[in-house]
Amino acid sequence: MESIKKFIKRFILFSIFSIAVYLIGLIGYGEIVPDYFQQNIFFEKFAYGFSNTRFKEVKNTSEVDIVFLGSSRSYRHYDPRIFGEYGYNSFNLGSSAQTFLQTEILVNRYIERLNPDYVVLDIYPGMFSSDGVESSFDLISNDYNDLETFKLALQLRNIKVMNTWIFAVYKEYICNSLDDIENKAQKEDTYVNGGFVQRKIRTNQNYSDINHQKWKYNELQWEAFVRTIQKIKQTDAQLIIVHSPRNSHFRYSKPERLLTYLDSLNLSFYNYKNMGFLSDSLHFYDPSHLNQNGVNLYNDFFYKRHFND
Amino acid sequence: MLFNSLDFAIFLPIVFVLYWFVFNRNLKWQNLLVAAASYLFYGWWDWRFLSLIFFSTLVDYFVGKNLGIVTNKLHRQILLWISIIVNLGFLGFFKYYNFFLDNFISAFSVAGYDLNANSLDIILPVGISFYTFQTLSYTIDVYKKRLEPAKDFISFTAFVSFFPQLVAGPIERATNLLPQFYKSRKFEYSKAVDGMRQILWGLFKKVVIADNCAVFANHIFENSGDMSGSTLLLGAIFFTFQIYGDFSGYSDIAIGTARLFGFNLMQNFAFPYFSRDIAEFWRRWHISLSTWFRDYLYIPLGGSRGGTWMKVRNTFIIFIVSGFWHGANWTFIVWGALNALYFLPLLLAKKNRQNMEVVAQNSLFPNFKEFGQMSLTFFLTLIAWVFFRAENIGHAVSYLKGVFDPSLFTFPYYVGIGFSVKLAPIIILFFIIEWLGRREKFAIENLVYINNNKVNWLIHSFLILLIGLYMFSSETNFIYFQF
Repeated sequence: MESIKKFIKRFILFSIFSIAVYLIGLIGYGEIVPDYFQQNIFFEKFAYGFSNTRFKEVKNTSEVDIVFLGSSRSYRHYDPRIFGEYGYNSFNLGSSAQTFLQTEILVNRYIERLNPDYVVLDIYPGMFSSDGVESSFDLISNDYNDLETFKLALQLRNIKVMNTWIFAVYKEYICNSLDDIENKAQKEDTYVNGGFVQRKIRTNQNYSDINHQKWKYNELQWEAFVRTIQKIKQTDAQLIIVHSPRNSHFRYSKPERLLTYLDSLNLSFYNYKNMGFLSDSLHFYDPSHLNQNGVNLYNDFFYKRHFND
Repeated sequence: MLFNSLDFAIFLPIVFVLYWFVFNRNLKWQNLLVAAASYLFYGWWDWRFLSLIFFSTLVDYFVGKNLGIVTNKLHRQILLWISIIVNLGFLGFFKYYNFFLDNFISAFSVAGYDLNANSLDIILPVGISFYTFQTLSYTIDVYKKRLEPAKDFISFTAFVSFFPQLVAGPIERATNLLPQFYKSRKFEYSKAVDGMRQILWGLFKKVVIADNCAVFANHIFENSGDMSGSTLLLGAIFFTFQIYGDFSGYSDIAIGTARLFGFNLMQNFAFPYFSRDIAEFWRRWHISLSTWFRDYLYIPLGGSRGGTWMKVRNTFIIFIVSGFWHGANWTFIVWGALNALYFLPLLLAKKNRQNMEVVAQNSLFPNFKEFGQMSLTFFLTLIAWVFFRAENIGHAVSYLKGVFDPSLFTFPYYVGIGFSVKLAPIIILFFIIEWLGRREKFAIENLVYINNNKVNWLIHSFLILLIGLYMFSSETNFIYFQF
């Protein structure tokens, strides 16, 4: 019995020692080794999508009429300037490849401060089926980290996300990385106050064959979706779940599980994937994203359909 | 439950603590805990197949029990055949039914007859080939009176389902493992520490070497039609490292885990890529399966007795059966036959037992001759692995044709080549550690010769850091689970 106790004691001591070596080694590696050679750290501050600027701005924003949530199809499809012209103050909390695991964290962090009358949740099948790894890097690198993001890293069971979380915590608390300011114009994109990202006008040349997609549900995502809906419903905000326009060659199966669930809550799903007034080439810059001409038309339609009562 | 998963990282310490602190006073209870933990471990994949293991256990336990009582030769033979038919029957149905059906239909269609029969949608139970062979060894040994029948059902259940080696070996001989369930186990500090180190090294081999090589090997094999000869050769090298890292890594984790519970499992890999000929390779690769076939197939067939023709015939039989054991595909059969062909010259020249010692036993580097022999053996196994990995025979042949093409002398290119270059230092480090540790049971057993805990801790922590920085980012299955 004594030798087992010795074994366990020494194992615990070794674990503490190796955790210390791991943390020091990971941070040293992240700082010294060029990004190209790093396999399992993906700290991407100021990556495309302007999440860093958006998350900074939201901390100084309160009391809006509309909050938009979702992936790049959210921050590129709902322009607060257009809704502002109609008298609605809005903020776009979309982030690159956002899945419900990240939506949930953003809702928990900011929904009470923003206190919106409407929450627009822009969804598409990938949000339900994705493992949520890619979008975690964006959130962990560009917003603050706490137990919620640690829980996210644990849930994903992905060493890259966990290492990035550790490195991001070091950058945040030791190097004050969150104070760094992002350039609001990068390549073809410009950040617009209120969370929107405007792309320099171009049209879509990228046609492909019919792309059949099924609504597949990753259980982790589904549970986060359900919790997010419940959290939003606890506020006074009206929830609008919508699929914004996409090129017509995308074909989907029927989202039966989603519809059944929304039905049980008396919620509707507004599918605006194929809008007659939008052209696959003229109003998109790629198969999944509207250009500014498309955004103008779509936002006008969206306002009239949901707010012009 | 995968060894390389968070579930197992939680499961193992819980079972360890229960085993040594709660159930330690009573051997029966300890064995019961091992059996229950093993069923939980296995049921984590698919609980429905637990009934299959349980049924096999039940049949073999009663067959063994009766073999201990019955003296009539015919009755004893009937009992043995019951065990063989039940075990191989399950294996045959789950693993080979569709293969035989498809080939039967194809054979008739060649003769001009069209048969209509549909393949069944059969899921292969994880580890069935391993535990089937393990239980067969029990009944055969009891039948041959090399082993007493199991003393109690709980010990026997724990032996059949012992979780460290249940799904991918080592395929333990009943004569080695079963008696260990009868004796009370004493915790040995040094043995447990060694076990932990072996687990660590196994994990490194699996999640860093095998899983990363798998990405490139899969990409190159799946797109082999578009690749140059040099790229295809590199793809085969990646697979060679992948399969070694994956399977020997699993074995290391299994053996190390068993040591934590006071059990000794047999060594399954002994640095096979440092072999000087194919015979030596097969003494060092998947040792538990090779020796199983030697003891239960080669020797009963007559072994080396009965002249050259018998030896050649028996050698081909065990290599082909061994290939077929891996999977219901002609590629495995050709892989086995190819290895038999490699083995043949050594057998005929009676040189198959010439390299029994570890290469470069007393020196740091091999001499020129040894280096040449190792390179040739590595190259021959690499060619054979192409059949093992390919989707079908046609794919393997076209892959090898692609290798031996003038483009073999061009610079390799594939998607992610830059990424694989980053891994090169890790693979080289791995190779050096394996070389330095080739005299041991596992490479890092005596890596640090200094008896200094701080240095040891630092080196092992560095290994953990390397795992964290270079492991493949998500949990992946072991290749041998499909066999």
